[in-house]
Amino acid sequence: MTAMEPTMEPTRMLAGREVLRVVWLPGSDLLLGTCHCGATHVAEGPIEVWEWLLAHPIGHTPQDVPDPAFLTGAGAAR
Amino acid sequence: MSSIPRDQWYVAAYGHEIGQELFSRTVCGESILFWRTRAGTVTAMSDRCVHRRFPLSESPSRLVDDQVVCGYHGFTYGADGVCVAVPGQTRVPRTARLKSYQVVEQDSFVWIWIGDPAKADPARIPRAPWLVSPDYTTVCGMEPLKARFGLLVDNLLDLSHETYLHGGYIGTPEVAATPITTEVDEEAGIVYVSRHMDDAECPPFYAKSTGLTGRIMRWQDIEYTPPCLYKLHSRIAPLGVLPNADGSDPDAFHVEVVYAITPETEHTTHDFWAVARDFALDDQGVSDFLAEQNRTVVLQDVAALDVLEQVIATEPAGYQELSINIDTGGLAARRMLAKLAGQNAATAASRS
Repeated sequence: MTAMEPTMEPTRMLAGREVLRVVWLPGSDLLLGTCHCGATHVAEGPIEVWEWLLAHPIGHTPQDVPDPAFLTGAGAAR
Repeated sequence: MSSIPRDQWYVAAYGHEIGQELFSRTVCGESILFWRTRAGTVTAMSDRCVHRRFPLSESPSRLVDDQVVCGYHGFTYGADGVCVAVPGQTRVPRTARLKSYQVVEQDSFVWIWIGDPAKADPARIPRAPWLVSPDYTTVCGMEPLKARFGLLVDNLLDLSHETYLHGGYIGTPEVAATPITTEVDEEAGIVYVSRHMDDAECPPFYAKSTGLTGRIMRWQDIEYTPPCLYKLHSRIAPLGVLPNADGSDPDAFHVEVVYAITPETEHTTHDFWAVARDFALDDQGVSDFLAEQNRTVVLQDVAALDVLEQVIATEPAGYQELSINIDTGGLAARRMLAKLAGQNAATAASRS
C-alpha cells in the first residue's frame, strides 16, 4: 500500500472516484468545497458547502481516477 | 419514521462475550438470543419463544446440547432456530421456528445482519484488523448509552469537544483550534475527517502511554462507515517527525481507536469501544492505563449524551440547531445515515 504524501496538510485522504472534499481554509473561517470533477466553491459554513457540493455533481460524469481506492491510517503504513 | 437504518450489519457483541451459555442483547429493537455452539460458531435467533413469548434467555430457560429449552412450557429449539419438540404431543407445528439471524465473527466483533436476509453480504462488513493483529495490543469495553445512536455519531465525528468535555484526559486546546479537512466518498460509504496538529500539547492519555512529553505532532484521522463502525487513526510523534516516503513510520506511535455504534432501541445505544496500539505491546501497565482512561472518557460522553437525549426527547419538534465549521463531518454523517434510513436527508441535516 502506498502512503500518503509526507505532508502535514491532510487534504487528500480518500481516493475513490467521487470524493467530495471540504477544506477549512487556513487562517480563515471559510470552507473550500471541491467536487470530484474539480469544481470548487468557497462557503461560510458547512450547510452551505454541502448544499453546493451535493447539487453540483448532478449531470456530469466523474473523472477517472487511475489509482484504486485505498485508505491510509494517520500516516502509518498498513 | 425510524432513524435506524435496516439492511445493515451491526456489532452485536465482542466474540469473547458469547460462550456456551445463553446470552441476550437487543439490537435495533430486536431481542436476540446468542450462544456459541459446541462446534465454536456463534448462533443468533429471536429471544422470544413462539408459543407465549417467554424470553429464552430468561431462567429457567436453559441450553442443553446446543438446543435451547424454553423455561415456561419446554418448547425446544435447535441452533438454527427450528423447534424440535413441544410438550405433550409428537407433532411440532411447521411454523414453530424462531427468526434466525446471519452472524459473522470478525476482528473480535460479532456482526449481525438486521434486515432482509436476502440482502446480507458479509463482504460489506467494514474491517478493523488492528483489533486482532499480533502487531497491536488492544483494550476494549462497552458502555450502555441512554441516548439515540445519532448523538454518539455527532459526538465522535466532531472531536473538538475533546478540548471541553475531556480536558485532562485526551483534550488539549489545539484540538478545538485546529481546522479540519472532511471528505465523503458516497460510493464507498465513508466519511473521513482529518485534523493534523503539527505542534500540540501532549495530553495525559498519550504522555503516560508513549513517554512523549511537551509538544508533539498529533494527527487524528476519522474514518466512519455508517451506520456502525467508526475508526480514529491516531498518530503521535515528536515534533517534525513525518512518515517516510515509503509509508513506513517507525518513529511515531499509532493508536487505533475503534467504536461500534449499535442502536439498541430508538433511544438507547450500545457504545462499543476499543483502543489498539502498536507500542508497549507487552506492558500491562500501559494496557491498564489506556483501558481506564478510555473508559473514563467514554463515560464522560455517556453522561453528556444521556442528558442531551432527555433534552431532545422533551423539547418541542422543530428546534433549529446552529452548525459551524467543526460540524462539517458530522453533517455529512447525518446525511448518509438519513439516506440509509430512507429519511429526507435535508431534514436530518438540520435536525435529526
